[in-house]
Amino acid sequence: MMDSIEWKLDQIDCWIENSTDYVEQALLCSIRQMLLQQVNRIEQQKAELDGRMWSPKEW
Amino acid sequence: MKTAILISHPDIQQSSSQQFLLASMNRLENVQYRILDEQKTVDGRFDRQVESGWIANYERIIFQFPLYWYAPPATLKQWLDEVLDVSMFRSTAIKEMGVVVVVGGRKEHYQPGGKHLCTVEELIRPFQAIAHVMGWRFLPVFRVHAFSSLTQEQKKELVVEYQRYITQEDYLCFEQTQQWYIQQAFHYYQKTSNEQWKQLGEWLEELQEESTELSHILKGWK
Repeated sequence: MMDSIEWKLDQIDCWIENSTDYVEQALLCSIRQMLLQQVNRIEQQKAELDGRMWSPKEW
Repeated sequence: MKTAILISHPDIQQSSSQQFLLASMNRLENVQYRILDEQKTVDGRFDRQVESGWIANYERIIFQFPLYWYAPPATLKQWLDEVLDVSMFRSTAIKEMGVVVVVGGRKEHYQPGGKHLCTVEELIRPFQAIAHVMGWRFLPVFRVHAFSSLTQEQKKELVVEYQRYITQEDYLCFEQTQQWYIQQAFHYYQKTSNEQWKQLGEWLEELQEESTELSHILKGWK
């Protein structure tokens, strides 16, 4: 997942650099942040799932 | 949802923060603004019928103003005194009320023990009471602190945060925020036909779906 997000972020960075409109550029920067937050959330959810699967309470 | 922004500023043309906010909202659909200082009649008063008629069809109204000496500008107080009436609860479509307040001082100065001893929310408490008595939901306050000291990156963040505050359903909810970005991406795609926006919308959607699926699994586990 990290590889694919890195590629996406690089792509967004290119779009930000090429954008000439201030408001559009601001939105691109915020979408970039949003994608990172989404990935972070998914990582946390996966860690929680992993923790529960390995919890002795679940054995 | 239609949003009305009621701005009060004694010299809006010279205000870099207010001009910045105006530029940030100018392409948003279903958002209209009104500069209260320009609406007074020749006798220096507000025409209650005109003013209340203007806001009647909006579901969300937002008061936007600078804080001078810990208070909103006098014109805004005058507008509230001369226009607002408890009957508006029945006669208008308004459901929510928000406040955008521009403060010269830094955020950390507005807290108990800070330079100004109290929070911005405490200073504008009357707005919360007004919303309560009118039966309108009071939105979290949107504060812009020390605008002139913001970096370019912070200003860009401010553009989008401000847009979200005035148009998003539940400004502090992560799911709604995700949804807002997805809508914006597809909206820009429709407007510009630029494939990059479609791609962004799809990426946001994919991650949203993955997270929702994981939430369901975790919920089922409990």
